Amino acid sequence: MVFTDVADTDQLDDILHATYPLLREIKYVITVDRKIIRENVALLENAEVALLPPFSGG
Amino acid sequence: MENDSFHERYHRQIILKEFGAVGQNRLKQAKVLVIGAGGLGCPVLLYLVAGGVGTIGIVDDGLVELSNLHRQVLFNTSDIGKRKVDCAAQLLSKMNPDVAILTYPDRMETSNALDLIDAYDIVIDGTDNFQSRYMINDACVLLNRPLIFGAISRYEGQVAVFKDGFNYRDIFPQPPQEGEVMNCSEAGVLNVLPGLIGNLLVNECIKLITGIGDTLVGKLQTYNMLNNGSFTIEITSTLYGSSLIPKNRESFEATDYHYLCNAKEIVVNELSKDELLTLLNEEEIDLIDVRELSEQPTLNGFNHLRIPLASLEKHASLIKKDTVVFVCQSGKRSKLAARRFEEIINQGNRRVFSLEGGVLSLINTI
Repeated sequence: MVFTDVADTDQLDDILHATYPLLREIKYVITVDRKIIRENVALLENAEVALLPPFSGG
Repeated sequence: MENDSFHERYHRQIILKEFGAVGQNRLKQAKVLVIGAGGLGCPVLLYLVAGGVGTIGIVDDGLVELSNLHRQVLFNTSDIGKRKVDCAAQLLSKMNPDVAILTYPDRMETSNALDLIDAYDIVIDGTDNFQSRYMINDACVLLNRPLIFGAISRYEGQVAVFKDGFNYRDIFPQPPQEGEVMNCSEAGVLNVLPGLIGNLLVNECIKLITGIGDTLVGKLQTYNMLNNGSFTIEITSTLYGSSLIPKNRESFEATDYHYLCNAKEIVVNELSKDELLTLLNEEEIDLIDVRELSEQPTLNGFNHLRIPLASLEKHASLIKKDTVVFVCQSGKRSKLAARRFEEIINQGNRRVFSLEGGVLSLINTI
């Protein structure tokens, strides 16, 4: 998915929650350019953001 | 002679320049503990044993079930009902008698985890629940053992190697709460996924032991079987993650991972006698008396069934209505009955209650 005019990861998270309400119930960490972030991070042009949920299955 | 057969058995990998006889001997010296002989554990064990890892421990307290067989490739139909570790060891020792296989038909708990892990060089986690995963992570940090982590969900898997100061809590510091993730039996799993991810785990293990190539130390790889996508992220060591790990054996053994991971705790809804009387006016319910048949006073005046607690499962089919209220003398056994009914039979399909205060509180109202 490509987003335009998203300033930071908090804003992106809000947009995702509004679009996919079920995401609110799921635990995940956010990565920006393949690194885990722990606080709000400004998103530069072409930043790659991923949501990483924990898996427990074996 | 033994040397000849050793050389011949592993010939195709010994001739690899980077691996060589040195690599093969390193495998022979290595001791690897595989926790969980399930979807991930089976392919891991197959290739560890075939490849000539010298000593392998298998921890699993489970029995082979029919629903395991599509993905747990060490077991066959005639193994159903037998202990997984026994079936696995039998097949694996035939496959490669050079390998010492030790079996532990136990559930890994804080009381045995440290002693078990301490006897091995490397741990592979192929368990299926967060409780075990956090406990194994913490134990490996305490004992300074490399941990190869694999986990699957639906069509994706994760692989990581935790050592050199990295651990699982650097990614997910706290266990998720119930409902925040699904397990295999809820979410489903296509058989080949644990095969693929399990083989990635063995690959990491062989590279770690022999020193060839690059491993996923400090990284987490996510593989998607539907689009063959692979996504690797860097892990950053965090003080917060490390601060949550017990600092010594005593505090590890005192940690309640079951509670931390909020594993399947069923909450029983209790009704007061007034709430029950209201409910009885509103709808048809199944009122189940779980006391022994001889217990007095009887619930005269209330339409009810008597199913003693001990035979609840056997007679559960008698319970048919959408709302079920269990009663006993004082409200204790009925709570147990409600929990058991939810757990084994109902699975959240009907409204289940226990009457607070039991028959004694009801009788006074007649």
